[in-house]
Amino acid sequence: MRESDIQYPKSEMAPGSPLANQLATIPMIIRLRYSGRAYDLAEHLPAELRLNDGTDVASALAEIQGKLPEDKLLPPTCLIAVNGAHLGTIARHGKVDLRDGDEILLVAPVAGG
Amino acid sequence: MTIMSSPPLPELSADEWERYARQLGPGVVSPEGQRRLKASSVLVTRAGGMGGPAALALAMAGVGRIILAHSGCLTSADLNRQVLGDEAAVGRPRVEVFADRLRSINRFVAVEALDHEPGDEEALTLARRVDVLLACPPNFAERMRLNRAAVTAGKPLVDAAQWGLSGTLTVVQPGRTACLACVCPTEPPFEENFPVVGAISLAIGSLAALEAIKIIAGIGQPQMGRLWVFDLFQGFCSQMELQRNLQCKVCGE
Repeated sequence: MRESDIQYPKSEMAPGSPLANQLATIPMIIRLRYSGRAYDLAEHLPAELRLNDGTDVASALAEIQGKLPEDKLLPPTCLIAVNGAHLGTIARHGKVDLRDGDEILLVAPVAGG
Repeated sequence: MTIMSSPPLPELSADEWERYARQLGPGVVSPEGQRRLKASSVLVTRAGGMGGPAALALAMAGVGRIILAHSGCLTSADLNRQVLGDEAAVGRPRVEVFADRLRSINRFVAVEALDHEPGDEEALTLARRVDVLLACPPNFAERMRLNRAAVTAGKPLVDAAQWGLSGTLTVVQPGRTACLACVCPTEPPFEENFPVVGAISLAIGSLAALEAIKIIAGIGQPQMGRLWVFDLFQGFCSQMELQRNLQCKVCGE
């Protein structure tokens, strides 16, 4: 049986009910990869982020930055992709709301030849 | 997938067909593709860590003319990754050494050696002469220069870059895909003396050559408009579908 098959009494699922509030706070899981220049920064980052439903990329980036040591910054020129689709850089990117199971890929550009 | 135009193609000698016999066949290189390779010219700049193995693979595959651009003399510290060099060549102008090495690998290939990195004007002149550009320099300024030249000349650019045990690879098809300036509108910081293990240089350089071979020979699916990320430190590979910036200062419409 899937969770969607469960028939909850309507009163328990009503907006603002304890159960509805509890379900709304179940975090979504976002997979995270960091690569490129100074990829060793990834050792400070989890493979998964638990974020509230509806969190957007900008908020996720703030969460990611918060997990790094104070003297380590995500480069503003770092490329961002969600599920493989390029969004721009940390300094300049479009607004995207994340969904459970999405993957954020951050790549600090490299130029070594 | 045929990207290049079709000028009259040269014939190959019996010795040349014998040389390339193992790369001919269904799903590999067609006889026409081999003739396209012979008719083609590729610019490789620079020819060190990744450009060296890329140029080597292009020469072995039978690209008709390879133009190498790389200044300076070979140093001992280059030999952890610059596969076209050797102990005896330390202290010699590296591009001469590298060009001689390519000629020794394949007598059917013409190799030109430029002992400097081309500036804006020369880069554009070279871009117009060749069929594909391979950008393998150690800084963003040169990459962006080659990108501008490729976009202006309308020629495919294969951009290969590395750091540590990782690398990235992308193919720019002007007018169809994102160019390097779309992806990096602001030049990222980078250190010229970046750390690198030679094995990744050879791997990324070889893949860059393969992209050029696919484009020229009209085979397979070149990785156009995608950024390939090879992170062999963390043990994963990934791809990013790059977004073109229609307001891009270099390729915007």
